Amino acid sequence: MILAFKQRHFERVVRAYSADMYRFAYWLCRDRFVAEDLVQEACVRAWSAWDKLRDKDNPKPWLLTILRNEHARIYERKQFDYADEPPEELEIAAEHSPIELHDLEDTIGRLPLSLREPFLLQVLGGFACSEIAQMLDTTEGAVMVRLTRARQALRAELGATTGRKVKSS
Amino acid sequence: MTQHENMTCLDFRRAKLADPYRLSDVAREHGKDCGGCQHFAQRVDREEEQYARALAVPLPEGLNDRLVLAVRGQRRTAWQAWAMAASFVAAVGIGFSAWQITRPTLSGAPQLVSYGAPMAAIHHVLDEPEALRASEEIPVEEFQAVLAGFGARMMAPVGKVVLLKPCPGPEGQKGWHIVIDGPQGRVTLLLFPSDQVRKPMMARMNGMEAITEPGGRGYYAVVATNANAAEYFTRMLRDNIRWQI
Repeated sequence: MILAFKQRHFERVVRAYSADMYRFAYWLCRDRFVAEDLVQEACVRAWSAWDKLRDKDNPKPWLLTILRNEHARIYERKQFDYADEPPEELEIAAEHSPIELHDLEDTIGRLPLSLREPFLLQVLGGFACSEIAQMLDTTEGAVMVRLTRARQALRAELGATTGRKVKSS
Repeated sequence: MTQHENMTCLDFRRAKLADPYRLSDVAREHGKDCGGCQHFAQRVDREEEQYARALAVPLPEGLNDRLVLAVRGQRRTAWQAWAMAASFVAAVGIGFSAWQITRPTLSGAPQLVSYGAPMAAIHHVLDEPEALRASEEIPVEEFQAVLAGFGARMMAPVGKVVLLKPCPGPEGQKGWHIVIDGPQGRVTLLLFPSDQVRKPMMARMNGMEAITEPGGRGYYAVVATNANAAEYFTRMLRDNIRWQI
């Protein structure tokens, strides 16, 4: 009886957060089949550790952390370079016309994982820098630097793409 | 001097780019009074809307139901355990039969076959035609890391890697799908953990040739649209990669 109640609760949580989990997974691996596989693995792991979760009213950070770990398992032997120097050159870039969605998707997908992860957690997950820092096991300052760098990289890339299009037309 | 006058435009822009929707009161005050930063903030907000739209990729149909089923599958009843045991026995039987078919012969040259791993490799490549159009330049360190995870080590370059992604293998195992611009053109390299390939084998289908050889934690398959490219690249893999660390 208790187990059935617990399982129903967990299933509600899965249904509530599956979209965020899938999109986070997709943008980590850029493959829809691997993304679904990752979400499934993460859900199974989350279910087996459900009793250990203290804050059951806010399971989203915990679920995304499990998902992130699942993704890292694929790349377990890979080491990523993190550059946390303060960002510079924050001038307003030249105004550009709205770019096409697929250009933007490609550009986001090309961000290095060290920048993409916090960016996804913020834009998709809606987390604050302090929460992202906790999830990525780093400092808030480092997260702010990575987020600034991610947006700088996107703006630079998008500006260049638009420039190339204008030139060729 | 008010507190927000201590905030410079650079501070404001850093804060805005780090967390566009959670600016401090001081930053918000600065944004109200500084025309340049106000313009900057409006631009960033517009870009955020674009990012959110781009990230909202469509969800696969039936995702929730599959997830719930996967979770429910964790609780097995006694009859399910028996069913699993029976499946295991059946799988061992099928595996043994497959081994009887593909067990090694005395010859070292790839044996032409019309079944098994090389045919599966061709099907794998045909099923993912977009992979052959990849144009990214993957850093060689990433390729080396994947090889290391597979129990192999690159001793000399084999070409420019343009695609590197995890992929399910023919037995459902997690493998790697790699596309490389080699000296004789574009080739696909598949790495699958498995003990099903004990000797070099080759297959041809739909204008493609695949060669599979045991290596690393399983086997690798080279698939190319012409026989020369596949054979040349396979020789290069033998020479340039140490397949057992």
